[in-house]
Amino acid sequence: MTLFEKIKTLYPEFTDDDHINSYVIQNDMDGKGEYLASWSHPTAPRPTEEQLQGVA
Amino acid sequence: MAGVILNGSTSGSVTLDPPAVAGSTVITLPSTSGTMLLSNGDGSGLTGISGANFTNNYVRLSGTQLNNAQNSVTKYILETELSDTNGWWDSTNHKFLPNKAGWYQVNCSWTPSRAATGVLQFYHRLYKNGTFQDELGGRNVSYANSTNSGPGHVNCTYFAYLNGSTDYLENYVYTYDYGGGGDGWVTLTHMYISWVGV
Repeated sequence: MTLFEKIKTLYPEFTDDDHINSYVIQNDMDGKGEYLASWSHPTAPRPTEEQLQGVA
Repeated sequence: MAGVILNGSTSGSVTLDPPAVAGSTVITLPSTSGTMLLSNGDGSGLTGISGANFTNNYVRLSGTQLNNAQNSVTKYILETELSDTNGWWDSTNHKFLPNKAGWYQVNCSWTPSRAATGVLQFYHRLYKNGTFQDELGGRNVSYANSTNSGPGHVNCTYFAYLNGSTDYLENYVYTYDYGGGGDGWVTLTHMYISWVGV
């Protein structure tokens, strides 16, 4: 499951605009994979690593 | 003391008129003869001034298709060096790291596409020293594709100052598939990065 899919699962109410404008998933292609580079949603809190890892 | 007037041997004169400000102004003449450039001249009589040499001061790249994950900003590493005489493109770390300070113009063209009918948003993001910077204009490229093939190119132009030692540029791409989560297909058709001045 990709990081985007995990966030989509945690926040099913997010619209396309929420996904596009509220956070940045980045992959530096250095073997470490995707990570949450920034989060700026006005109301939804940034998910913790535990929450993300808990999404099946 | 007012200006000094040098009379010509037969006619005319030259006046050296100091500015009406405090302090000293020194005019140093060269040890060889020559003609002074005047502010109302066009410089056409000047010699010895070379223009910018563009012969080797650029790199040219192309790339192969990257299948970018949904809603992800991903470093584009699939470059092919077509021309890089000075070795400015770091093909190991996939970044532009020139040893010549100055302003660089970046011109590039991308072909985004997606698997099915729908809308794909595409951004090319130019990162300087590992950070996306708005002033480089990376947000300005947006693309919506309503067919399953790339109908055209997305062209980008940027300017960036690089210090010739540690500053570097990297290519990142972003795609968002409004149709529901498919990968965006992105290909760097060509990229020129040219030194244009200091």
